[in-house]
Amino acid sequence: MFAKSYKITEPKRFEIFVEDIQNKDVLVRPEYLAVCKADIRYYLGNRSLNVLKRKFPMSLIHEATGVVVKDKSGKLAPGQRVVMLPCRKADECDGTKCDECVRDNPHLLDNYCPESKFCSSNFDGFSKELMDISTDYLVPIPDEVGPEAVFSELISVGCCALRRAGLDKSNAPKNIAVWGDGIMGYIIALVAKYSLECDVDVIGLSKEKLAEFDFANIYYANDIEDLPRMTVAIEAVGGNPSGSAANQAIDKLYSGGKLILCGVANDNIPLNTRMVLEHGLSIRGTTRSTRCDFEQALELLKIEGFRERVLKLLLSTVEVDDIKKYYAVFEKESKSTALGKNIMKISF
Amino acid sequence: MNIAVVLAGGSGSRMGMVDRPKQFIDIYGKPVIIHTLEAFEINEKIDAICVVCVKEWQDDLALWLKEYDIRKVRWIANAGASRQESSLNALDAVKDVCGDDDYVIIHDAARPLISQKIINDNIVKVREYGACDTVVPAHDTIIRSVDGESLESIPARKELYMGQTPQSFKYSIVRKAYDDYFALPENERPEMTDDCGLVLAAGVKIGMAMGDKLNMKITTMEDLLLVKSIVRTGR
Repeated sequence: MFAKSYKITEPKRFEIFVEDIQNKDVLVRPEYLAVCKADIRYYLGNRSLNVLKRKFPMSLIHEATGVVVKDKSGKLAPGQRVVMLPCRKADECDGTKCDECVRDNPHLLDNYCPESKFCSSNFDGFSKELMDISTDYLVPIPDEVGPEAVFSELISVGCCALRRAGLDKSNAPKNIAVWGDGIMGYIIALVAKYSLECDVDVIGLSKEKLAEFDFANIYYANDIEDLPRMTVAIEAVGGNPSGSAANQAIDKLYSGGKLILCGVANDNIPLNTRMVLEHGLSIRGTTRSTRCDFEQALELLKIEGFRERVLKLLLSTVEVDDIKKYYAVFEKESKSTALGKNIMKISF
Repeated sequence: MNIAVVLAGGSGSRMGMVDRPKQFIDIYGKPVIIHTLEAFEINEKIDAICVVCVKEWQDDLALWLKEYDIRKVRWIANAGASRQESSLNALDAVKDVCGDDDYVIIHDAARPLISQKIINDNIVKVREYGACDTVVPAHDTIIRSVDGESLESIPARKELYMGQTPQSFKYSIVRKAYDDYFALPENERPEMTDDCGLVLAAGVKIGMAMGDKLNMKITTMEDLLLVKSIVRTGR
């Protein structure tokens, strides 16, 4: 069947495409979309032109929920709301293990397969009227969770960070520190608070944003003398300032502590490796989550206090029924410094 | 209840084809009418579909419905000699399940690029007005000529829209308009090109749902080329 999609064809240029959708698995109508910083980098053209030329045209957006229209397997009922997972297993993988296979590594799973694909990165994202998706990449949304389910991908990244640090309620430390007062820092700190039930210390630069972290102890990045030392630190600053955040964390970690890097830096950043060696620290990178992280994210969203705090990030819902409104949301989000997102409810 | 009526009674004479009407032409492996029916099949607000089809193609249609897993088609009605007769046949076909307060959404089979938004907007507007037409603003200047050789007038563009389908109606309203129309002696029936014209002539106020330039009707070979080009770009 024919369905519209919006694709970026060059920086700051979206065009309408009509695709012929083949219903092999589950037909899903994307409903709520949220713009990520990675989408904005494509929109503004903040990547090398050669990279962009290889990727475009491409539908953006990897944070999305949808509604099931038709499921050939009968597992999902029409009308079921779902979160759509952005990662896709390698097309070429026939199940036999290659030298780089990460499928059975519980810390990595299929997401870290070098051949896997990620929506709105090396594969079409969710800016589409209709999509055909395997049930492997759909997670039902509980009844009590509304449009805020669109933040599931971000929450799942938080869950993934803790999972990859080997943390759960049974072995939670006394306290955990999160560097970053942006949306990622907020989400990771919130996930830590509710899933580990430990003290959460958040280090940031914006007094206004830090004031929103009412569930955590807050510290200003230029004055961390009183910040307690910790066994686990998470960097969620992103950009080049992630270097100074990581180095602050390295200074504050106990011997044998873990530093989890979640922010994406644009350039190579210098790290105080002397202290890493002296204290026997371990550093682990994490960004892409997988199905179990999404399932945990939706379980967390069932908790009223957690859900209410996630709802604070939902600044507005914009009804997008034409490409002009789609442009307007990207313009707004690319200029926004607010803690939260203006999400889209689409009907192309 | 919302019932889609898909009109597939045309002959395709304007395309010059002799083997099949335009609504049965294949576009990248699937007949045009199936692309159109799929749009209504997947719309959660559409409860059932009636297809008005020329008799000699009804067997093919039945096979395609099975092949492409179209489950909402409950009636295949015979095409009439005119569009009005075809619509009337559809209204007759659905009358046993269609109460006065139910709605019919009448669409051309030859408009396969209809979006879910257009269908949904029709359903909203028809509930508000009782009758609704799908339109797009006229972006080109429209010229009126009576003799086909010289300009008669240039109507104000801001007041002009191009009519598309679906055209949607409360069943009781469209039924009465058709009954009144066919009660007239044949030579006294005004010439109408669509269902809204007939309902408007009955004095009913008709709401407008915004259509989409892509919701074009395949009427000529040039239209077919455009539709295939649009779809090819997205492949």
